[in-house]
Amino acid sequence: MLASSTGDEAAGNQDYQRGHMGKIFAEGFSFSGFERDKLYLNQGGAYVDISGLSGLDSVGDGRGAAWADFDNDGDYDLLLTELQGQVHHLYRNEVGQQRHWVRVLLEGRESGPDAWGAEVRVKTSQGIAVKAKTGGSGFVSQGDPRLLFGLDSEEAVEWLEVRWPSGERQRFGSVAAGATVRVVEGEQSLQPVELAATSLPDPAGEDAELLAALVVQPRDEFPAIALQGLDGEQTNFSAFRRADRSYLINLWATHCGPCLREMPELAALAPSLAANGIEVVGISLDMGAAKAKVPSFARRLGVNYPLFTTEEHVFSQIFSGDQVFIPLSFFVDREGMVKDVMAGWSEETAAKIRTWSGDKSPLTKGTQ
Amino acid sequence: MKSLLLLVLLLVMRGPLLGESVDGAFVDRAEDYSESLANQLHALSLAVREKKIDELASYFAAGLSAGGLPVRGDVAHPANKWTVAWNADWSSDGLDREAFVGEWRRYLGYFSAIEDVRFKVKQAHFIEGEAVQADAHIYFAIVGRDASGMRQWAEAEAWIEATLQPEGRWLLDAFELEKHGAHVALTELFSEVSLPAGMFRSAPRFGTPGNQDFLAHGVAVADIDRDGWLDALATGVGRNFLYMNQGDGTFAERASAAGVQFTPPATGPLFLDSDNDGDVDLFLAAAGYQMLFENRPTEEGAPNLVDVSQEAGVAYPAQGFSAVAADVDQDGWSDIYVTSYNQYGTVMPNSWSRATNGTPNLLFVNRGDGTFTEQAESRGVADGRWSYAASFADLDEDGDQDLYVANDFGENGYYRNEGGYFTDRAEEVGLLDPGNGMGVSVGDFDNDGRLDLHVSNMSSTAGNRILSRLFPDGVKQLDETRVLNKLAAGNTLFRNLGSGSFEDASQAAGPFGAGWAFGGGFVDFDNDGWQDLHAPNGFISGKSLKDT
Repeated sequence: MLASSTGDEAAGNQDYQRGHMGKIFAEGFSFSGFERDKLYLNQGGAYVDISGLSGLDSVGDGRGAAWADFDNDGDYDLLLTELQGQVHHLYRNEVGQQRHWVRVLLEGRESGPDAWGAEVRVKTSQGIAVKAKTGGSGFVSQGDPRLLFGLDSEEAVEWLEVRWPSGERQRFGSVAAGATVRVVEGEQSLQPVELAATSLPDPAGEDAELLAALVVQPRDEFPAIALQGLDGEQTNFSAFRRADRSYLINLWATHCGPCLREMPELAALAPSLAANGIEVVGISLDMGAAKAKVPSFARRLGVNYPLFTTEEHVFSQIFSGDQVFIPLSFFVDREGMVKDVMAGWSEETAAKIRTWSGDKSPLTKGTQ
Repeated sequence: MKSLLLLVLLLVMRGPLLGESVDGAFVDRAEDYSESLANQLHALSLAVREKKIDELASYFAAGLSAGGLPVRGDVAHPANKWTVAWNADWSSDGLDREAFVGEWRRYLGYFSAIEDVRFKVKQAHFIEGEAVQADAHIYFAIVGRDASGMRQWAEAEAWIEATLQPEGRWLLDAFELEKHGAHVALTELFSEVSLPAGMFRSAPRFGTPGNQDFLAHGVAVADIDRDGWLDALATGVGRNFLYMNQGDGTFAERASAAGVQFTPPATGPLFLDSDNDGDVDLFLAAAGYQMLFENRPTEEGAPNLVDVSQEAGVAYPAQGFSAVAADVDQDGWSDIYVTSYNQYGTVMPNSWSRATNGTPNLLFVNRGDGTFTEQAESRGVADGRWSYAASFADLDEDGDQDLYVANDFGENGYYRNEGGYFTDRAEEVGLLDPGNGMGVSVGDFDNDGRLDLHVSNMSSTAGNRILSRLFPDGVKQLDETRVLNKLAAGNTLFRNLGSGSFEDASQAAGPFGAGWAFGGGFVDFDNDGWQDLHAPNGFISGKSLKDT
């Protein structure tokens, strides 16, 4: 019946729906939004909803999900992607590593190296568990290519069988809990694999708020933002950057009191920083008429390092929201990667910068 | 705002389906009342979240008569290995307004912190007299922490009566709790560590410049530099992110260095060894031309992804979403399947549940010489029903890779591999699942040694509510209503019975009313040997917090 609706009706539906959808998005309405992600616990073949106690029940609009043991500690962590706002969420699994497990790496030969679709069965006193090595599943997602079998409190699997896509089947003897083994298609024995393990970091502490307000994060490449020299010459950061030095990039503006207080200090440290391969670069965020005031401010403050102005679109390359806050300094290493971010001007910041400059004089507040 | 869902339902269900007993105009007005009541409950939710008891009281009529709220008992019993349930009781004595406000003050005292509160209208009947009166079943949930700081989660259902005031506000005349369940976690199960791990990224609000497309947001994992640590690639708004695992629990974003920061907008990423040379290459599905990047690692072993889309023959246009790999013809080379949707908004599906006007999916068959040929049509998998996701697995246990395809506006496809060529057997083996399929995952949920299927669909409180109003007598046996029922039913779990047949185990093992669920699927997160299920969800959360 639905498929037989007339062309006119279908056209009418389309205009109606399209108009309505457009309105929803333009006006910021919600549609099945603010749903908390679900986690169902399997209790012997029947599920119970534990979402609200899971810690991974993000209220954002979930899209992709990749379960993978990122820290090799023997359980699956979750990398979740969302539609908007904070688009990437990494969740550390706190409990899986407390139980026993074995991990299986598959390397195909006749089946091709990836051996997608290969199935591994393991036998324990609880029965036979099967997993397939899938080349992508869920929605726009691909998880851990290695297979992790939860053994609960079992000390070992009795046997392990691989059914390769080529049709070959191989069965192996006991594997002890906590072991990672590689199975190579057609080879008669399992290869033990030593995987180093660590732990994903603890949840965010005090600097969470600062970093959440920034697009540029530690370990990111500092973006190739547009720069204009005081002589009017146009460039950008990656063109300006030299591979033989690090940079202390200081964002400031003529209306920012704390900025104006720290700049003479930066100027005083600049020569010794330069001797340690670190160049100070000032970038003024002044816009419009205020840009014209930058050279006179620079002279008055005794700035002896390169100064640039920039364009308003650069704000969104640095700040994640509408809030622009300065002074803000980035330490960028010789690879162009952000090593540190410092907001405001404090004893700690000054001490850190003095340390980089090779100044070994005693530091206040014990900061190293 | 009127629910889009209602509009869609009214459009597709006109005519004889509605029956003579249903007044279409009243259904429309009733849904308006439902929305205004829902909006009022949303304001009430915020008051509860902030523990603003005086504001909460302002939603209760002076003459309110209500039952009590639960009293948390001393002894909680284990609900499962990770949580305990409250022993809780409540009275149904007629409390007046002041006493009921006191009940809320006491009840919210069980929460040392509240993260989220949601009140929703499940069912509502409206009487249009001098004033409009509502008689409704509502649901509410509170997520937070208990007095000892452990995660605590309460869900409840209540019956309410409310009257619409001249100024447009609803005041509650009656509130009777009908069901209540509260649980406390025994330990932390997951902690979010995005920021300290170097994975904190943000994008503008959906619909604003810089984030106006449904696409992107895919994620794939592989040890791309073969250092023993898993790396990840996420497709994003305007750019991609490549998170290289540093081996110390943190990640460095290296998309630019690897050559894939800026590509044409990509959707589903897929890591695979496309040329059998032992390193990890990258396929990117796209709404546009599909892309393949061959890894030619640097001397240091860092990924160096070179665009070979043209030479490899994958630069085919599609409205691509998910990309999945398997060797469909058993020649030892990975083939790639791409699900293709359509340009929603420019083209609308020609049916809500049996659309045929999606764009055809693609199957790139690997020739083993670095090139692919697109053979979806000739191999029988050019599904054109607005496909979102797919997964390969040997579902009929004959040794080759079968394919399950989740279609948003069509029934799903179960393509049995018969010598490298496929035939859709979904109907004959009971795998049609006529919901709005958005994801598929393969795993053995009952530990019988057979691979089962989980399919993500939508479930909607509004959908349930509207359907019951359209079909007050429960007229649900018609095929179209069965289809529409799936709007409200949630995710589907198919049990593999062996020899290629399946049964729907969703109700027996679930149910899974997981909201507007995209992908997710099986994962044994606690290593107890049983496959748990995860479902990310939520369509669009707008600037307005109101939602139905």
